[in-house]
Amino acid sequence: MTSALRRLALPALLMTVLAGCGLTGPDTYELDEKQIQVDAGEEFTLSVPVDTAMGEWWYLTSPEPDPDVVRKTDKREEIEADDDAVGSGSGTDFFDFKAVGPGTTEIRLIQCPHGACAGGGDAGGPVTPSPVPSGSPTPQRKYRATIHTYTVTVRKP
Amino acid sequence: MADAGESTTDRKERIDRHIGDLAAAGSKNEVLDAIDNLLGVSAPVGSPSTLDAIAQRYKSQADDAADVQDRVEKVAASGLPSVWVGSTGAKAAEVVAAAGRSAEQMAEAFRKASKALYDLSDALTSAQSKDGDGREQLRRARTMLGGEDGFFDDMVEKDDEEAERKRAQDIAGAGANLLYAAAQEADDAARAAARELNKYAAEARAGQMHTDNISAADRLVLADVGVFGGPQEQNELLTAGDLERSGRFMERMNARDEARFERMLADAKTPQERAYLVKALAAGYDVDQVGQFRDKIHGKDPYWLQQHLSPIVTAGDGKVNEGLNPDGSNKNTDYQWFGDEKWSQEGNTCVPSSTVTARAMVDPLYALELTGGPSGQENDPDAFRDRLHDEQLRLHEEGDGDYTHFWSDVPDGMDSDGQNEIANDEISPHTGSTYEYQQVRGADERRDVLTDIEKSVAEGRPVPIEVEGYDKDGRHGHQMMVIGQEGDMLQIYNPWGQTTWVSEDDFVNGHMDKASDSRMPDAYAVHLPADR
Repeated sequence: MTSALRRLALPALLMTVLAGCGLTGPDTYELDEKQIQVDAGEEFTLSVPVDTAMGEWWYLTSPEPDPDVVRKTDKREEIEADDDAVGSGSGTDFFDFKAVGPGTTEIRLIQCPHGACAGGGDAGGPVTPSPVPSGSPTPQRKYRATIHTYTVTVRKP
Repeated sequence: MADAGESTTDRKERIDRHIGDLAAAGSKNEVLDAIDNLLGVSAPVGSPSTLDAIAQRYKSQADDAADVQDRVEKVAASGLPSVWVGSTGAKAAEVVAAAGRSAEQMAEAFRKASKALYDLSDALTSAQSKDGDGREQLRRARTMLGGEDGFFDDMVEKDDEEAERKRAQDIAGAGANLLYAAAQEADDAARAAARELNKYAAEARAGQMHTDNISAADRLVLADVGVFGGPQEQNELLTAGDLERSGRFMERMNARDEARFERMLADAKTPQERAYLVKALAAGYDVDQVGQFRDKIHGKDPYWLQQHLSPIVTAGDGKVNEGLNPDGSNKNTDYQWFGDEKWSQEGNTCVPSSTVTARAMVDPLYALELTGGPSGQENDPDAFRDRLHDEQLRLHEEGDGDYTHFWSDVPDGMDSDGQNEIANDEISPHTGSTYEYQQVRGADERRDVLTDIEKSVAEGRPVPIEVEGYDKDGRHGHQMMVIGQEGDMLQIYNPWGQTTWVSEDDFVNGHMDKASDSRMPDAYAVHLPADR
């Protein structure tokens, strides 16, 4: 009886540990993983580092992915900062998607250093790189928005 | 005994506390105590008729100043010879133009100060009337209840006694609410008047320079010089504090230094060059150091001088509300550049970075070292960025800032002791005011510090502020600087490399995300300059 309990306890413990690590949740893709293959019905997450102490933000931008292939379900942000210090910390943004039907589509995330993007906000519309005023020099790359494109192929389950 | 000297905010807080006691009172004696406490709070103090008389005098002085402006403008229109006047080389045309603008500003200041006093008088009349009505109701309630119950009477309350007590409690409650409304009205009016009058006092700028080492005409022109690139009235090169300090330092000079300094001013190629020399003196440098600085900037055009010596330029349309970005920040933002590099932080160094920029605003020798390098002649944004970053790291170390882990050299924020220490080490020696850290976590506390913030920035002393926000992961904080004030708006420098304007209501009510972003909307601490 004791050995039977042990046999049951080990997988249960492993499941708990794996769930704690997020290994049993949706697949998560980092910034360098731009080619993604998932089965229809599966959920997946794009994870990107965000420089919160510098006022950086990330958004899903246009054109948005084909809604018959992929749909955004959520956006979350986790920040690690020292509560006692001013100006500390960095974060991770998570864009959650669901693969809804077979096909290939692109997801575009825009990385906005503070002040580098226009649109959205109280004016509405997609968030896009800020236009450079005519006659002004193009700002350095570090002050400009960057669009990161992921290609997602959804297979039939 | 009522204390007529208590602040309007204290009075409001006391009334609020006694209103709570009155509402919670469950016996006749408790109601009577609460009523007595409410009647013990002083009525709004001040004499509307005296305020009206002063306002009337200001109004007639505004008319006199407008008349002076009119006459000066006629002189300007008559054509002036290009001659030198005064001891520092200000041209006659410059003096007349400065006199015209000064008279115009004086007329406007007197007019607006007069209006501020009339508004205060009206509000005080209304507040005192409300307060009087409230006290009448409180006394009526007290009369209804009669004297205090004895020990045994107080133990038992019959139904009719309870009904009478509750009726008196209602009447007293209505009266107490009137007292509170009156205190609120007086508090708001006093704050608005103080804000306006402080501002106009600081704007009487030429008069701040108490020295007879240079002529009144020269003082007028110096006070009138603007930083290149923005409207003059929002980019005054010499702050009221600069003018006061430089005047004081000139008075202390020996005859030799006085002659050398006057020679430098007289030889200056532009009014801006002359004003930056005065700013260097105001920043606490001796005549030898100012002379070395002069050698580096002599003959440079106003644009070069702005780029190298003034980190912040304020645009004329900066206060226009253009809406919000998706991150909650103002769309209307001025980015502050040296070439194609911003005056911005690198890494998690908002505290040292805002302190570096604030010092550069008050200390032109320091600004030139960052922008122009050791020779003061460089014009290389990449080299500026390297020096700026090195300086941010030096201050991070000076303030005992944190690092990402034990053996890391990557900065990761700074605590409040370090923040105050570097403000005192870097900014104070050049403005003459030490900084005192003060937490302001409630709306009333933030409202209370506004007058001090307004006065400080109007005199040219930047005020570091900390903002924060909370989410499920904990607290996130950021430091910015209040660097300007106009009407009920505050100009904020964010070390992300930009300035923007927020309203004082935004500061009080947790909308500082307009100057930072929605992760950090609440101002919770300030470092207030105190006069030495």
